[in-house]
Amino acid sequence: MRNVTTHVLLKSILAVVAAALIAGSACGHSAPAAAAGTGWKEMQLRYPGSDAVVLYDSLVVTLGSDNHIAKRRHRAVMLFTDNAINRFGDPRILFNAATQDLTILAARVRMRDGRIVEVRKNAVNQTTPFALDLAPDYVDWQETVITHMGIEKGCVAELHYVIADKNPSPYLSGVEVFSAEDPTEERVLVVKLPPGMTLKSASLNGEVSPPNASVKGVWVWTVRDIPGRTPFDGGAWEGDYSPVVCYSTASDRQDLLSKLGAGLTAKSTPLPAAETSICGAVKDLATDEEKVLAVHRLAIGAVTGVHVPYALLAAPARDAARIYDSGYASPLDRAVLLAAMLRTAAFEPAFVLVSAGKAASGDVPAPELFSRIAVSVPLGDGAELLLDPAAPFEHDPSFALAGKTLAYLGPVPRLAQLPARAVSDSRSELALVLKPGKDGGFEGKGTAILKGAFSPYYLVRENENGLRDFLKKRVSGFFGGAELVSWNPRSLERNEAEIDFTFTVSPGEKKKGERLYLSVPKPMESSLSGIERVRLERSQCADAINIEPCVLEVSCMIEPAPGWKMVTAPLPANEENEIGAASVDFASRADGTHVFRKRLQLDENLVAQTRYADFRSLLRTFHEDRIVLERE
Amino acid sequence: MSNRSKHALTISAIALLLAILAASAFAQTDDEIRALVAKAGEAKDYPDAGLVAVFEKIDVTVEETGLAHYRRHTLTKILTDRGALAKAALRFDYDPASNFIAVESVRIFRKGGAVEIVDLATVRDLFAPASMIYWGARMKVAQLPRLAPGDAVEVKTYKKGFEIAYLAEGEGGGAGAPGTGGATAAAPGSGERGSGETTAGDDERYIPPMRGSFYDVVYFQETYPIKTKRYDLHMPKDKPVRYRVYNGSLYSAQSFDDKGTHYSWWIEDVPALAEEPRSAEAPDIVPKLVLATLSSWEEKSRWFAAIHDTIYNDNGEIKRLVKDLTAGLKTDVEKVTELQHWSAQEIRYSGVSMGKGEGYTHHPGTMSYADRCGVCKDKAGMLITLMRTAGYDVWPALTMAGARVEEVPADQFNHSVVAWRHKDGTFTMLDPTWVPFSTELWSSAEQEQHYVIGTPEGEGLMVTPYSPPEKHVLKVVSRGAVDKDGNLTGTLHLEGTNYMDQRMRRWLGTHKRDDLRAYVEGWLAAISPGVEVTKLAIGDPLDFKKRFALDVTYRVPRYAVAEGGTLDFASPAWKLGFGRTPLLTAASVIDLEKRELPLFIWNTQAYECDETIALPSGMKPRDLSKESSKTGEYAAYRMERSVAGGSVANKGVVLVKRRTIPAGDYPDFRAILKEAGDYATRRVIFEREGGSR
Repeated sequence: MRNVTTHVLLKSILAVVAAALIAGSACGHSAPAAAAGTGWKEMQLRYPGSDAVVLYDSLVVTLGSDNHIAKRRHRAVMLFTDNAINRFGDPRILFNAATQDLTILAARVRMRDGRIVEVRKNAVNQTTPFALDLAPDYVDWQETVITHMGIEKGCVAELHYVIADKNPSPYLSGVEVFSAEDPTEERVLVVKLPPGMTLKSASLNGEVSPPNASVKGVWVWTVRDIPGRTPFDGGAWEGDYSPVVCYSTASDRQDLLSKLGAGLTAKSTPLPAAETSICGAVKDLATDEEKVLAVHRLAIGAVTGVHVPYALLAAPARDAARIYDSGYASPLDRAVLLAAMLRTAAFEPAFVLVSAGKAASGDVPAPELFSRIAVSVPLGDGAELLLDPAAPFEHDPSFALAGKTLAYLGPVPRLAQLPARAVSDSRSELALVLKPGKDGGFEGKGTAILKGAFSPYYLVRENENGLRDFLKKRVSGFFGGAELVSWNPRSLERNEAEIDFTFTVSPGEKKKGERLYLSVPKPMESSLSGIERVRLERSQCADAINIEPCVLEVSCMIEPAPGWKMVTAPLPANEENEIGAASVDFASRADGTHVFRKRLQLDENLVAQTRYADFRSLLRTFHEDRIVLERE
Repeated sequence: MSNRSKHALTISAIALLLAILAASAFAQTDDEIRALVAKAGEAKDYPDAGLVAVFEKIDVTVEETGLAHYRRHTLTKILTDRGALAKAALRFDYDPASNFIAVESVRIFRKGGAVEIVDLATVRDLFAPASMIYWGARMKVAQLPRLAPGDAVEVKTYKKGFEIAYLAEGEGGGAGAPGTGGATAAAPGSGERGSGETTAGDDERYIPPMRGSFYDVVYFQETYPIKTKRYDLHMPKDKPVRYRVYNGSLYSAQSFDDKGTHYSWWIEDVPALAEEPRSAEAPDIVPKLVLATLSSWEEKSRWFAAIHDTIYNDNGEIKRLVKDLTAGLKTDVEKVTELQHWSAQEIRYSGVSMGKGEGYTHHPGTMSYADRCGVCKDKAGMLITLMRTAGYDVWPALTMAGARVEEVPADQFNHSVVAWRHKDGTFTMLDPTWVPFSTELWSSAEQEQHYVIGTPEGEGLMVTPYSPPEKHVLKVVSRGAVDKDGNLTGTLHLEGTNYMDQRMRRWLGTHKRDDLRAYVEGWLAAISPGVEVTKLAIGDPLDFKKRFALDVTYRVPRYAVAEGGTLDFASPAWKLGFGRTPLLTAASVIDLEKRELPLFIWNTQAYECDETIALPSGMKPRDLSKESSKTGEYAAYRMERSVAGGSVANKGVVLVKRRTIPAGDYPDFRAILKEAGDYATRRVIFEREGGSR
């Protein structure tokens, strides 16, 4: 049966490929020179500026009547450039060799002259993923590398394989984002279920055609002509702005999450091996919050993080004792270890799944919609600490995760969507005064007001010199290398901090007629707003960018020393668009001082690709920072 | 079993026994090990180190056939929590086609005195991670129990076989191929095909291909501190070794008996090797022992030619290809250039195993032609096949990219290339692996590099010539204008010669096409983050008959400080070079004030600037600082700035004269480049004639 099915499928894809090649296959000349300039050239003209075109890309997910899942992937790509050859010449297929069988159904190249070159036996090689070489507990995950033979510009590389689970699954689910690095002519998702079984599914972003359910038990989604683009990491999930299909056979989300939670809880029992170090870490700490954060720091340092190449929930977690003993951990295992260490310290943590995008789709219980895991620790009065098991707790995570859906995996699971943040929630304001100092330098006073997302409350409490280190580092970036002299926190709260500080700037000796170029610094922690995701010179961006709704503001009053004059300062500007507003002001006062102000307000939390130009424009205005003084 | 195999087996058993006896002679009691651990010191004695090697001992016994038995015994003390996590798992690499490894024991000496024995049944035997070379390399991985500072890890392994630098033999493995009804991938560590478990009868495959010979290259410094490292070598009676110590000194001893010669080399109290960006390769830096039984490089040369004597045969398709490629070309250089371009561009770098001979022999040209892929040796084999088909006298060659080859004839090669012999007996070296996108026949990133050509007559160790920076110019022609408000508009024309031409073609020819604009914009950000690219033209990187160039039209609003009748700006073209771009690599690798290790930047280079920026009428410079220059042994520059006809002109060149800058000469090298950068990117103030300040 399999042979017949395979044969039919192969015929089918070859037909697709052949059709796509059009005249290329008709020539039949064997010399490369003769084949050049035929079908593939026409295809290249059809896709100018592209390295390759994906002719066909399908994923067929089948749940058998015995509840075994098989995933069959079939892709044919025409390659135009060396870049494409590098990316598609040696595809890697990740699978779990302990729980899955990988079968290569076809791996071949159709050369420009129509010849088909099948890969030989020696071109199919299993390897251990690089990230796992020193993590023996994870090495059941293997990669098979297919070295395509006969690759040349204008060829079509075809790969067809199936990964079949060895064990039955309680349900089938998945998420498919219909975006692509290379233009894709046809992308197909097929879900096949045993007769009588129902599938819950949803198309997000409303752009995927409804499933073709003409065949009973078969759901088919097809998207044609997906544009290609080089992915840009704007910190946003592609599924928030590209067509997405999510599907699941699980009947009940509560039940699914409850089982997930129970499984993780069972792995995270208290950890006697770490008890001494945990007790040492929390000793003398007064509050639960301090204790939880101390255990969190300990847990992060207790293991080496492993960037496993598979999805968060693709493999079960290990026992906390084993995780601790082995000395390394995947993101999921890190969560289990942290929870176990917190239990050892007598806290009651809960596992929390964090959605990949802004929201996890309504009725479809697909855990693949969640890409990260956190650990929540209740602190009383309804408060909680939401801990990232892999990162230090430096800022309130409710800002960075705003809008995301959290799935609390307790005995009674619940979903909660973190509220979107408003521009009024977060502000970083920096007020500086520069007055003449010693040796031609300046003495400076500054006040930083850091509210909401920017509050350094947790960051500076990591150790006893936290505030000093925080300020020293930030101030050293002022005016090409300022030095912190003193500091005084007027307030240091979780949601807001106000810190006074003084500093000196030593620009070096200048002769008459020489100029001093000063760049007014950015507000402290402004990178948390997302503005540094974008390099100003970049004119286009094909992906959305996550930003923090906020206000960033700087004022700098300069009193030049006698014998110095202000040459120039930023041009006043005022700009407003759908993303927010930016302004720059400059004024020279009668007392000889000069005041420079700039402000950026970000009203949105996501910059869509279509609004990149607006965002960039605001940033370019806000980037104005040049003050020039001249020795008279 | 053949007589030869039986003989090998007997010899092997004897040698193994000798090796065990030798190893046991050096074995310590547990109390002695505890004492060594205690004496090795604490974290405070090794700032920045997470662990210290208390000892590393390698005891090697070599048979007449060249088959070598390696017994390795190491003891590592954990100094910090970070060091403990670094040793959480141990990895032992091997290649089942050419060597075998057994992890014999792993013990943890706890700080408190207890000794824990790691269960070796848990050791996983796995396919090793691989990229671009898929020859079936494997590894054994052992999970250790959680370690703590003060603990020590003792490891004993036994390995037999040979290794040929990077050219290690392999057989491939993993999932089966299609067309056989579908094959299923093997579970890791399952002992299925590809596993390294062997029997003594397999010894034939561990005997080096150059039967009877033995060589080794042993490094005596690592990235962690070492108390003692020792290498013992037991050679048969009539098999002397040539050896020499490089990059430092070692203790040594030698003794004889009626069975053979016992050599020993050791070192004590070696600090961790400094970690510095772009440092020269370890073989050029760390104390190393190079030894070999071969009498000369000529012997190696003859052997290398002999093993390839039949594999460069062509076929009808290759004949037609050669005819097509060389049609209409007149000179030999034109023809060879065309043939090399084909091999360089059309045989992509990705290697699979052909089975026997993999790793040290080229793939047949017919195989590479059909596969259109291979590693350096296979690309070289393809070129030799093409050139022999075209009637040229061509031979395979070995080289070491990026480091020296010492005169002791031990295999120190990581790369295979091609030698074209002329009628007068001289050679032209060719390297199809390093010249994709290049107009050079031999990449100048391989200048002053050792090589050995394989010929029936036998060739010695040779070195490629120095290539001065003036041959590798990246020239920036910059034309622009600054208006009275400081807005800059301009064009840039970037073009390279030889190696820098190759860099330009490669940077722009292999980048993802839909991201090229952003890539070039990233370069121009060195001029100003506010740059706006308005027009972009990139030549065809694969048209080697035309000069390749990048042409950019751009503007930068408010580039110059414009106030009070003055304009104040720096040269865009020089900023492009001295900014964080790849265009003048040397300028971006001098952050360190001092270095402990030599700086290695692969190639010599010149960065040349020819710039004219038009000014609004009536502007004159306040202080032009007309010229600056300096010459050193490793870098030099000369620059001039002038104003004429209403424009400011910036001209000059920066020369990076050597690809390796010794640590002692680095400060001078850095100072020259810093000085050059300071002058080149200095802002010049222009004011209206008559003064309006």
